[in-house]
Amino acid sequence: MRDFIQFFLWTVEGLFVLYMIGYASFLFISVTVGSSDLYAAKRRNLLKNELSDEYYVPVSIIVPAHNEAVTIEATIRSLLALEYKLYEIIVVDDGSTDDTSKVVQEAFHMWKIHRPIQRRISCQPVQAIYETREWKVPITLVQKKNGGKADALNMGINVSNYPYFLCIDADSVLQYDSLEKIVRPILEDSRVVAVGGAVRPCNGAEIRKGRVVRYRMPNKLLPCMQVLEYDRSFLASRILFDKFNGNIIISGAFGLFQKNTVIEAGGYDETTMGEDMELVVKLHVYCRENHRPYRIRYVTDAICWTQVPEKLRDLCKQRRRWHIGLFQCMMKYKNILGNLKYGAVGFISYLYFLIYELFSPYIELLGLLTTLLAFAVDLINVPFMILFFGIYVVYTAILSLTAFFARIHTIDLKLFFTDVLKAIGLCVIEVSCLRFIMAWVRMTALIGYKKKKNQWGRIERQKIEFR
Amino acid sequence: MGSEIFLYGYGIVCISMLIYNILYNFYSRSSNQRLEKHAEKLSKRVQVQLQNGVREGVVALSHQRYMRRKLSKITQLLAFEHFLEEEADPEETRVYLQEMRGVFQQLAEIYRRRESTQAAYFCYFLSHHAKALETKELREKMVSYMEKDSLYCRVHALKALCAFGDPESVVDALLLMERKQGAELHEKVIVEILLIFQGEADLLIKWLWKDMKHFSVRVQRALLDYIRFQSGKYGDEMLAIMENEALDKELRFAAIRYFGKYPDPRAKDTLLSFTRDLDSLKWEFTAISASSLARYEGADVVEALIAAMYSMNWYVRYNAAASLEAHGLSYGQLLEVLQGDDRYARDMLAYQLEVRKMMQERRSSG
Repeated sequence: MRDFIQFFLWTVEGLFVLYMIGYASFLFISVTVGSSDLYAAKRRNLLKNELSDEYYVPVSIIVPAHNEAVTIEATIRSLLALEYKLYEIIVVDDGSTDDTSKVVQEAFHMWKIHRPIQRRISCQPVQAIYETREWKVPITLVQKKNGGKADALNMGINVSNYPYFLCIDADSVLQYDSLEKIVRPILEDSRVVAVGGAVRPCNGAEIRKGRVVRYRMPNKLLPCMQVLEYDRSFLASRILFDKFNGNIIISGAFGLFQKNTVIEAGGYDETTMGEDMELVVKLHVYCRENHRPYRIRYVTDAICWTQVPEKLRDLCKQRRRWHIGLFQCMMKYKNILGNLKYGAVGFISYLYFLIYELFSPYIELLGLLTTLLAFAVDLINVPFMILFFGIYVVYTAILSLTAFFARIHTIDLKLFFTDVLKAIGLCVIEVSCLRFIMAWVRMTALIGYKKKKNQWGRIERQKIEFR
Repeated sequence: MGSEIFLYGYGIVCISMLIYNILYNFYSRSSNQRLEKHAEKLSKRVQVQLQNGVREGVVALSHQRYMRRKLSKITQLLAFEHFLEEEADPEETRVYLQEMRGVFQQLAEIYRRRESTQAAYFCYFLSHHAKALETKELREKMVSYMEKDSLYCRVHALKALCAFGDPESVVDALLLMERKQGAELHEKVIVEILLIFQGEADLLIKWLWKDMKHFSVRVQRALLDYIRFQSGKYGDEMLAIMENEALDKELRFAAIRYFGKYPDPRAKDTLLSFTRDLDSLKWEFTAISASSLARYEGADVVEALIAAMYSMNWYVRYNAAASLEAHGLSYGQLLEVLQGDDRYARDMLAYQLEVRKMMQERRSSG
C-alpha cells in the first residue's frame, strides 16, 4: 500500500513539475514580451510612428444596461466627451426594474420615436425607442424585454447605423482618446475584425472630461490587489497572445468589432455567461472555417476605466461569473483543442485557458490533497515544502512587480513612491492569499450554475464622479 | 534540479527587467530636460548662422557639416524639431531651412538606410517643413521611402510629398506603393492624406485620371472618393464610370455618390433607372442611387423614390425614405405610403418624418 502511495506521489510530483514549469514559462514570456512591447510602443509614440491624424471610422457605441440608474448618466457623459467625431451612442435598457431609462430620458431630453429596426440577429422584442439629436452625436435609448447582456448587445447591433460597433459596460468610462486609438488597427490592417482595448481599474483615479488627472493606487486593499492582477494578467498575457493572433478574450467592458462579420458569425450567444469570450472564439472559428484572412488585435493605449469590486463578496460573484462563462465557452468550442485548422488558437490559447484558467483550481485542489496525503503517510519533506512555497510566492510576486513597473512605458501613467511601496507590500498578499480565495471561488463556481443562466451579474455600484 | 534552473533563470531575467524599468523610469523623467538642453545647443548654433546667413545669403559649410553630423542622430533631430516648433521665428526658420536643403538631401539618404521607426520620423519632420526644404532630389528620395516596410514610414512619406505639392511625385509614390506587396494603405488614410496636398488640386486630379487604370480597384475607389471631396468639375469622367457596366461595382458606386453630392442633369436618368430596378441582386445600386436622388428635383424622382419604398430590401427603403424626407414633402403628398398596406414602407417613412419633426423642434427651441 505504501509503495502504491509512493508511486502515486511520484506521478503527481512529476505532473506538478511540468505544470509549474509551463505556468512559470508562460508568465515569464508574457511579462517580458509585454514589457518590451510597451517600451517599443512608447518609443514609436515619441517618434510619431502612429496614425495621429483625424481618420474617422464610423463607430456605434453600444451600452447594455440593466439596473444602472446610478452610473448610466456619467457613462453617457463620458462618451460625449470623447475626442472623436463620427460615432453614435446606443443605450440598451434590458428590462431594468430601476430608473435607468428614466434617468437617460430626462438627462438627455430624449424623444419617444417609432423607429423601424432591421433584426439581423434575433433578440427579445423592443418596448420603446427614444432618440435625441441635441448633443454632439445622436443618442438612442432602446427599452426592451429582459433577455440578458448578450441579448441586449444583439439588440444594439440591430439598431446600430455604422459598420463598426464598440461595446462598453455601463459602469465604465472611456478615456478621451480611446476611440481614436482603438480604431487605429483597422486603419493599419484591413483584415482586422475585432480590437480589444486595455481595461484599467478606475478606483483611485480622478478623471476629468475623459482625462486622468490623478492616478494612484486605490486606498482599499482589495482594489489595490486587483490593480496588480490586471497589470499581470490583462496587460502582459494579452500582449503575448496578440503576437500570434491568439487572443480569445476581448473584455466585454471595451471591445470594437466589425459589425458584418459579427452578424455573419451569429452575434452574441445569449445562452452563455461569458458572451465576450464566446464571441471572440466564435470569430476565430468562423474566419478560419471560411478561410477568411483575419486579425483580432489588442491595443494597450486605448483605455477604458472600470470599477473593480471593492467588497470580497462582489469580487467572488464577478469571478464566479467569469469562470462559468469560461467553462461554457471552452465546452462549446472543445473541438478546436489541438485541431490543426485553428492553428495557434487551438494549440496555445485554448490549451492555456483550459489548463491554467479552467482546470487550475481543481489541479491546485489535487495538489493540496496530495500534500495532506503525503503528510499523513510521512512522505513529505516539510522544510522543502515551505521553501518551495516561498519560491513560488517570491517568483510570482517578482513577475507581478515587473508587470506593475512596466506601466512606466505606458504614456499616461507615472510611478509614485507610495504606490511602489503599496505594490511591493501587496503583491505577496495577492499571490499567497487572494489567489487561493479566488481558486476556491472558481472551484465552486460550477455548482448550480445552470440556474443563473441569462442573469446579469450584480455588483454594488459607486457613483462615478465624471467632471 | 531542472525546474530549479528554470526558476532561477527566469527569476534573474525578471529581476534584471525590474532594475532596468526602475532605472529607465529615472532616465525618462529627465528626458524632457535633456531634449531642451540639446535644443538649446542647436539653437545657439542656428542663431549665429541666421545672423550671418541673412547678411551673406549662405550658411557656413562648417555649420552644414556640423548639422549633418548632429541631425543624423535621431535624438538631435527630435531636439531640432522641438526648437523649431517651440522657439524659432517661422520666417527665420524658413530662410534657414532653405539654406540647409543640401544637408537634408544627405540626411534623406542616411535615414533611408535606418530602421523604419527613425525613417518614419524623418519623413514626419519633412512633412512639417516641406515648403522650405523641397527640392527635386528630396522629392525623389521621398518617393523611394514608399518601399519601406513600415506603414508609418509610408504614411509620413506620402504626407511629405503632398506637403511638397508636386502631383507627379505623389502619383509616383502611390504607384510604387501599389507595386509593393503588402504595402497598401487604408482607403480612408489615402483620401485624408491627399486632401492635405499643398499644390494645385486640379493638377493632381489630372495626373490621377491619367494613371487611374494602373491602380487596383481599392485604390481607384479611394481616388474617386478624393475627387468627390475635392471638386465637382469631373462630371464627364464620373458619368462614364457610372454607366460602364464592365467596371467594378465599387467604382460605379463611387461615381453614383459623386452625383449625389454634385447634382448633374445628365446623371438623373441613370440614377432613376438604378432606383427603379427591382432586381434584388442589384440592391446596392438601387440603395445608393435612392440616396443620391435626395438633391434631384422632379415628379419622376418622387415617384421613383415612392416606388423604392416598397422594396424588399431594408437599405433601399431606408435611403428612399431619407431622400423623400429631404425633398421636404408634406404629409399629404406622402399619404399614399403613409396610409398604404405596406407596414414596412409606412414605418420607415413615418420614422423619417418624426426625425424631421424632432430636428425642427430642436431648432425652434434654440
